[in-house]
Amino acid sequence: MVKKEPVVISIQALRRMPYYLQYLKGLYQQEIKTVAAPAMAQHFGLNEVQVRKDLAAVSKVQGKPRAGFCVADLIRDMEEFLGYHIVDDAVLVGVGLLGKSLLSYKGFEEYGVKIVAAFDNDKKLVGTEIDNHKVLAAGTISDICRRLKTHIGIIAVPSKEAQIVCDQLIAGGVLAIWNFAPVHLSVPEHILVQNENMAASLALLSNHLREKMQM
Amino acid sequence: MENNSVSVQALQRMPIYLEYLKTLPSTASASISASAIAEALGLCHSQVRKDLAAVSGGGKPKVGYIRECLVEDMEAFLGCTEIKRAVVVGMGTLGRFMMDCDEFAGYGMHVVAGFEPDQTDEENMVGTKYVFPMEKLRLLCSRVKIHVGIITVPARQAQQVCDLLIECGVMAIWNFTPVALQAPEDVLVYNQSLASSLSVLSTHITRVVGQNAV
Repeated sequence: MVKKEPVVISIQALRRMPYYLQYLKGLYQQEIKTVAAPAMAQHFGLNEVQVRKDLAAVSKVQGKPRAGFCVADLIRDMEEFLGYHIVDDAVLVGVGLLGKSLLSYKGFEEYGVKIVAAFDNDKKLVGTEIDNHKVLAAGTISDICRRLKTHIGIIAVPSKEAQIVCDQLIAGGVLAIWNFAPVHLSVPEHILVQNENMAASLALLSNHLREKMQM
Repeated sequence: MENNSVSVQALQRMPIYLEYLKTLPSTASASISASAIAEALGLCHSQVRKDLAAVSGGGKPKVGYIRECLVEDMEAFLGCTEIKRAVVVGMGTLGRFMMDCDEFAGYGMHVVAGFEPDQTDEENMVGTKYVFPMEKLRLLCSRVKIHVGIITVPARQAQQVCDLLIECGVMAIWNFTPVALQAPEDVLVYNQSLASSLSVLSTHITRVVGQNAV
């Protein structure tokens, strides 16, 4: 049996894709029909070879010499590649300020992710409803993830609870973790952790400003 | 202290150390070694040692650092003690969260007001902070120095908002939209692309589940 090798693409390349997609959608709205890799590279300030490689990884057809890619086809291929057409279920743990805002954010489904359950360990919150999501007891995380066959776990708890929650999610069969807590999570090799560390962003911004303010 | 020598990756690890040090129980020992921190956080020992050395000169062989001093040095290094004023533009779910989040204050960043391009009312409130229509941005920026612009508007409005913020003298942009913003070289644009993270997560699932199905 011949297995089709999935296209190998780096996480960095994956992170560039939504930017390409947004740009392509802009072109589409302006009724621009084709786009070439060099023009895109220039817009993004990226290396041409890199953009060419990124597009080749997602596009089902080869770009034509000079003319480049058909914008509409490229949008479709890219959305398909990123799995935007297939919605993955996710659970969210921790309905503090951040958790609540993630629960009521409408944009995720556009990117193929839907929050199907929310958990918290605060007894006062369990049983309440936030934007049509019933808040469930944190003790049931593993059970419910297993039952719902959820693949994505979103961690929005304080940092000292993050590792415990992470372990519970993995025990429930979750394969990918979106971690908003400013901690390093230890996970088995087959689990993907995507850190969204706002504190780290603040550190970078702060550092840049300090240099500027000294000038 | 010069901190140009520290990499972006190292800078991004600093809040993880800081968070760990601050959440240790008060009964914990007054001193802590780089290896103990590395062990607890599951990070590489030599990396942690190097990171801490860049921040604090207080490390002693065998003993390590005095915990309190290390926290202070790290906060100073990250500029937590210097006040930076920010505005949030775009009052969707995320924008409202950014208005309310007190965690930022720990890093010296204070959100002073919100702006909403689609707002027709004179003013509005989110929590204890005012939300103004876009036209008021220039006025505010001429009265107080605003250092950071947080952009949480829909993608199609992002570049325009970015241009206006820079015109008003903002020195750093925290961009939550999936748009590659064009900005002069001396303005830092930090992209917090939630869309990119979702793409990485979603693609991973598709790949893993796909493999198991074969």
